[in-house]
Formats: sequence, C-alpha cells, structure tokens
Amino acid sequence: MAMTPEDRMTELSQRFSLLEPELKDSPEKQALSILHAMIQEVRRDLLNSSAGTPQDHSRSFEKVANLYKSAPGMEGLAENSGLPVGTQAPDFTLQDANANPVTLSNLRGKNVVLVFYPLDWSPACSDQLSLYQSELPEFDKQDAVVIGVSVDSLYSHGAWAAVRDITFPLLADFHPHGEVSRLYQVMRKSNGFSERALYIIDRQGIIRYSHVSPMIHHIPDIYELFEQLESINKP
Amino acid sequence: MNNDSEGILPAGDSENKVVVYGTRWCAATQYVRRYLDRKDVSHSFRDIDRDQEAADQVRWWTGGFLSHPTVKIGSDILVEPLSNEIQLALEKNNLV
Repeated sequence: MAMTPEDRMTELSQRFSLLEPELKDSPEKQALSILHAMIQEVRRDLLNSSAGTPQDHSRSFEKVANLYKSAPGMEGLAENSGLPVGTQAPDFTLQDANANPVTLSNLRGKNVVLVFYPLDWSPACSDQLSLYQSELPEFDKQDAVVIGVSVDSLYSHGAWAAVRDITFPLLADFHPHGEVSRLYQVMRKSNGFSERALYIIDRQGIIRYSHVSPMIHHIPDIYELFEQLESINKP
Repeated sequence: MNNDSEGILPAGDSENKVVVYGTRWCAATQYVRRYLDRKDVSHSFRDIDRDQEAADQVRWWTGGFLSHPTVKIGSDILVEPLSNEIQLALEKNNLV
C-alpha cells in the first residue's frame, strides 16, 4: 500500500532520530543536525501560517508580548538566602496594578504563595508568571493565593499583566524602592532588584517554605511547590 | 500523569509516545509538563542537565543547540513549542 506523505515523514523522522548515537562527532554530523533544525523551522512556519494570518493590530500586540524573548538575558548567582522557615512573615502593604492597597495580614486564613521576581518584561520572569497563571485552578485547590512582587511601578505591572493575561495581583515594591524585598531579605545589592524567591505563608501567617533560586534565571520546580502546599494542607 | 524517567529510556525508542526533554529550572519546560499532566497525556521527562544521552539527542535534533524544552510527540520533534503546536501534534498522533 502506498504511504501517505504524513506516514513518510513519520518514518523518516524516526529513522533520523535513531541515527544520533551511531554517528561520531564530526563537521558532517553537525551539518546534518543543522539541516534537520532548518527543516523543522520551515515546517513550523508552514504549519503556523496555514493556521491563519493575524491582523496588523494583533501582530503589534504579539510583538510587545514577545519582547522578552529577544530581551537581554539575566544571569547571576543568588546574593541572599531569604528568611528561614518557621518565622512570622513580615507584614506589608503595597499597591497592585490598579492602585489598590494589598495587605498581607488581610489574607490570613488562606495560604499565600509570595513570588518575588526580578523585573517585569525580563526573560525568565515572563515565563514564570505565565506558568503560575496557568496553574491558578491548582493553587485554588490548595487553598492558596498567588501574589507577585517586584520593584517595578504599578503602571509597568498593569501593562505587563495585560499583555501576558496575568490576573493575580502584581504588587509594586517601587517606593521606597525594594523596601518589602529587603524585609524578606531578598534584595540584590548589585542590581537594585530582588532575587527570584518564593515563600509559602500559611493561614496563620508563618513562613512554611522558603526558596531563593541559586541562579537568578532558574525557576523553582513547580512540582516541589505543589508538594509543599499539599504537606501544609495535610491535617 | 508525569513519569519521571531520567536516564532510563533510550532517546530514540522510548515507551512513551511523548517525551519532554528539558531542565527542572526552566519555566517553559515546567509549563509543557504540566500542560500534558492536565490533559492526562502519559509522558516521560528527560533532564538534559543530568542525562548526557538526552542532551546529545536534543543537540542532534536542533543543529547543536541545547534547546529546552524539546518535545517528542510520536515522531514529531517540537523545539520550544507553543501550546497550540503541542495540541496540534497531540491531535495528529491521536493522543487526545
């Protein structure tokens, strides 16, 4: 029976994948690998273009939303280790993107996942908060609310939340600059922004989980975060 | 659900039709793994920080880059895919 073009492509792709361990490192192997990657990209373009061409205004919007992909990278070792587990979470009030004051102690009775991140619009932060946005139903199941904090202004938070469809509060630790980040011992002296750090604060306001990313572009493991929430919720 | 099978399955011949190659600290990798969890798509995870064979396979597919996540769905290789591209590949391979 004749193969369909799709079956042929499947068969060829499988054969290509299996060849990797059989070829020794060489310029020829490298060239084949590059050609494969180029074909993949062309195929991807074709598949995406057949899905429809976006209108001009949505293209501009997409451009802004995707700025983070070409933005300068952010790397560096952690400079702080954060507050220890078991301590009372310092209370604070900061404004969200709509200028509403949010006070931590008003959230007693719920678990709070407090997410310190370096800056809006930066590469890894964009993906981290989108990840949490997609997990809001799971956080809700764990009786937890998510709150983001960075030193950006509320206007930056507003624009950034709009392009990334983020609905949980982003708080502006803007003035005095980084005051709450310092309170939680996650302010980076060398950069003027915070570490990438996570705290889980339980219903009584006690820090039950504390994690400062060892490398600033490293996102905490979400499976570990959920495990921690589950253990806090166990009777 | 997520099947953490680092270093066990040979890269070209895994039992799972869906294999996510990535790192534990990459948000996009975590996003893809959780996306598959939510869709109840059985998959395995290969940590390219700790699994040299998996890292070599990714470099082979991507022209030498250690792109993560790289997702193998059936015979489709998706490099740093968007969720609609994953969905399309899952449908094509009758996995949803």
